[in-house]
Amino acid sequence: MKCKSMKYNVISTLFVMLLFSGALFAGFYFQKNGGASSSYFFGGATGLLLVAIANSIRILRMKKNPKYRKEQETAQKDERLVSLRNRSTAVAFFVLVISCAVLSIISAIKGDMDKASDFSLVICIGTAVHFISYLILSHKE
Amino acid sequence: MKNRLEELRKSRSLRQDELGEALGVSRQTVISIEKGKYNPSITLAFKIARFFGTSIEEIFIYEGDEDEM
Repeated sequence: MKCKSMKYNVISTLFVMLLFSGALFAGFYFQKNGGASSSYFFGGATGLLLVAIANSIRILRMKKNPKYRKEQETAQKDERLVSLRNRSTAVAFFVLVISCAVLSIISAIKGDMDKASDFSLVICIGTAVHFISYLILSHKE
Repeated sequence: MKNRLEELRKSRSLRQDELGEALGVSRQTVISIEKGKYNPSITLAFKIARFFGTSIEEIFIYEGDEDEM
């Protein structure tokens, strides 16, 4: 397999399938042990399965259609598209952090401190990972 | 930043998708550069200059930062 984008797609599909198996396993585990959260895992597993199917269709199309494969390769390397993807990821992260902060405050006001601390934990992990990755990247470049 | 990409491309009778393919970018990126909506990286600017057999300054005209004015 010489094509880089094809390799990337195959690896990402395998990773999604691994996550799907994990979510399915967790769903059945919590269902067996009476956990109320099993439906969340089954929902997540369904979403991951759909992503894996979409990726597989794309891989098959790339194998059959060289023109489509070239388009996909260009789209992956194109610096403008890469910068747009990075910017949209940054916006998504910002929205996630703000949403979690708002939900955490609302949960605290409602008296649900467990949920409030869960949302705060998401903010803490997100900002910590952001800070660490920034430090690593700033040392590299 | 202004540029002469459209003029140079047309002088060579190239389509936007053909230029994009030669530079390894999408047609949309070529359109954005031509319209001045997107400023390419130094690597892509060199690629463009090399493709047309000229210097970067001949294609891209730096008019100063908007904040400076």
